[in-house]
Parts: sequence; structure tokens; C-alpha cells
Amino acid sequence: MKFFKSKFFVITALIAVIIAVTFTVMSALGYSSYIKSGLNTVLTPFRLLADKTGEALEGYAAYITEFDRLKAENKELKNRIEQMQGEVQAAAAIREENEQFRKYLEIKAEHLDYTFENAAVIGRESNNYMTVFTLSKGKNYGIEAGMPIIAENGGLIGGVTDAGGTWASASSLTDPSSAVGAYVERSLAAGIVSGDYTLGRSGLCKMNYISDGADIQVGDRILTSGIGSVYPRGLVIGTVTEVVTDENTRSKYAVVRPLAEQTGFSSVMVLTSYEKYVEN
Amino acid sequence: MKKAAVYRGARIILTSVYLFIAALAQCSVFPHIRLLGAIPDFALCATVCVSCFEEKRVFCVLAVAAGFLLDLAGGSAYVVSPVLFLILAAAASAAVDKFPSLRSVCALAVMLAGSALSSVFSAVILSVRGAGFGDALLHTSLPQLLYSAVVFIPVYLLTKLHYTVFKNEKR
Repeated sequence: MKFFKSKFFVITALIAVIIAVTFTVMSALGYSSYIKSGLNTVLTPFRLLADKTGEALEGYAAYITEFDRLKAENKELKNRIEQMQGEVQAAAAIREENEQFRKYLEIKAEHLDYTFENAAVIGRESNNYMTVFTLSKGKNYGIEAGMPIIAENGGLIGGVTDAGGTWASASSLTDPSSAVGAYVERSLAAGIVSGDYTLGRSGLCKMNYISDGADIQVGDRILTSGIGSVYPRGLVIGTVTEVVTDENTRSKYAVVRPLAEQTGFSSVMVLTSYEKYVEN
Repeated sequence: MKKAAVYRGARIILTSVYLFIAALAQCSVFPHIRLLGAIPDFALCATVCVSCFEEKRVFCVLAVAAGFLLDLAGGSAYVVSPVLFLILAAAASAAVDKFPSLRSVCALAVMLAGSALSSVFSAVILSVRGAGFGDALLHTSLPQLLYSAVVFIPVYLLTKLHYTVFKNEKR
């Protein structure tokens, strides 16, 4: 107990408090310090290695923890194979759907104003209250805070929150702090897609602020509205899986399944430049 | 005398590398191998275990550095780990001084207390961000605490092995 009162402990504790307060305040104000940037630059190769190790372990962990489930699933799939042989025609529809997804891969060809930068995901959150990840590229490749990140299938993942020379950190759509202006492709009904703690655990997010009487249905595609110029107009966010009406307030919200898988992806595309949307 | 200093230096360097890897693992490896959707307090666990064997001044510096590294590498918006790690490391060390024969129990008790604190902190942040506090406590904090308790056993044994090879004469 004597050690708690020693000069050394008091000084170390003081330094720790100063570090904690300084970096928390800087983070809250949106400043990225040279120390943070330098440290993340040095850490990049180590994190790349550690993340690859994690990916390798993930496969083994799933094998152990989900063995029974996978066994049952395998049995069920075997039964379904026979059933599916009679559904060859459905394959044509799937082929058509695949063609659609390929179109998303060619998103760059469709939007000539888009410039992409590929990046690998080299780190993820260290805590249980945020959904953030670290990318292998940063300012040296033109990546800046605020840029949208999309998955290889064209779905919006989230946005860059901070960037250093060789790294960038980003938050995903399912993070409770995220908010994106959005609209329903079919009816043009507008709203805000944001993260929600409960839905986020299932990889889903929420579309709020839908006006009363707006036309929105299960299966509708949700796109970015471009309002606020943070994200370009027309990026695919996901599909509506449920429309809920609050019995008391009569307000509506929709549960959205993001097109981009929110966990497990190992590489992303950062949209480094695009034409800003101007609302008429 | 010179040999002892070199030996001590090697031990401190290896301990630093150990904590460096622990902090990196928490934000790069464990997000891939979650238990019930939670990440364990792996770095905290390693820091507390180290403090039960290491010299007081050394673990104080290492605890602050490990906490700082963890929060920066993990992209955390709140840099609280340096302070938390230092306090827990000092508490674990004080507990070992008081009960030298119950080193593992002291480490486990302090680690659980720290992990509980950290998981409640997660629940508070989540509830501020719109989640129900009880819901966050059940679905995030509890798995975090359980997972931390699970990883404690191998971490403690590894740390013990490290200090069996590199004996610390001052403890």
C-alpha cells in the first residue's frame, strides 16, 4: 500500500491521467495528433500480421464452436440438393441475379466521376461499444476522413473517420453513431439510415424519420440520398426486411439489411472522389 | 553485477514485447474470434498478470504504455485504459504483497474487477448511444466478462512461465 503513496506512482498516475484526458478531448474535438498518426503508422505492418493471424484463427474457432450446427446444416443441405435438382430453372434466375451483382462490381464504369482506392482491413475495434476498423492505406493514397467506403459488391459499408499517412480508421453503418441520408429507390421516400445497438448485433440497421404515409415495403432497395454531400447519391445501402409502425406515435421505421456484409470482409474500396449531389 | 543488469534488461524487453503483442491481439486477433459477440479484455488480463510478477516501477510504466497502445490501436474514442491499467496493476501488485501465496487468486480477482469495470463502461457508452442499459449489460458486458475470465487461465500460465524462465529476484 506504501507504493500507492510513493512519488514514482503518483507521477506515473499523473502522466496517465494527462495522456487520457488529452487524447480523449482531442478525439472528441476531431483532431488527430502526430503521436497517434506516428504510432498507427509504425503499427500498420504489425497489425496486418496480427489481423491475418486472427483471420486464420477465425476459421478454426468456427470449426470447433459450430461443429454441431454445421453438421446439421450439412445434412439438411444434402436433402435439399435432391430437391434443388428439380429446380434447374431457378438457376437461370440466380444467374440473372449474379449478373446484377457483377454490375455493382462495374460501378466505377457506371459512375465516371467515382475514383476508388482499394484497401485491406488490418484491424478492428478493441472494445465492445464501437464498430470500427483500420484500413491499410491512408493519406499517402489520397484517403481522408469523411470518405465513403464500399464493399466489393457495391454496398455501402460506412465512412472513414480518421486518416494518417499509411492507415485510416473507419466506422460501419451498423455503428450506433453513424447516420446516412437515404431514400427508397422505388418510391423516393426519404429517411435517415443509422446504426442501432439491438439490430446491429444481427448486422442490421434502421431507417428513421420516414414521413407519415411514405410508400415503403419489405424488399425495397435503400440508396444514399446524397443530401449533406457526405456520401454521393445512389450508393446501395441495403434492402428493407421489415417495416415497423409505432402504435403510440404512428411513426414508421424500417429495418434495413445492408448489402455489404458488416463483419468478416477483408478488403474494401474507398471512394476518394465523386461529384457532390446538388439538391434541386 | 553486469550480468544481472543484462538479464533484467532482457526480461523487461521481453515483457514489453509480450504486452505489445497482447494489445495488438486484442484489436486484431480477438475481433475475429468473439465469444457470444464480445471481445475479451485480453491486454488488461496480461497487464494484471505481469504486475503480479514484475518490479513495481517497471509494471507501472508498462501498464500505462499498454493501455495507451490499446486505445490508440483499437481506435477507441475514449482513452481511459492507461489510467485503468495502472490502477489495476498497482492493485494486483499490492494484493500479491499482502497474500504472496495466493498470487493467481489475487490476479484473477483484480482482473475480474477490472474487466467488470470495463464491461460496465461499455454498457454505459452503449446506453448513451441509444441501447438499453440492461440489454447492453446482458448482451455485451456479461459475455465480455466471461470471455475475459476464460482467457485469464492461459494468460496467467504463460506469464508464470515467462517469469519462471526470467526470474524476478525483487518479487
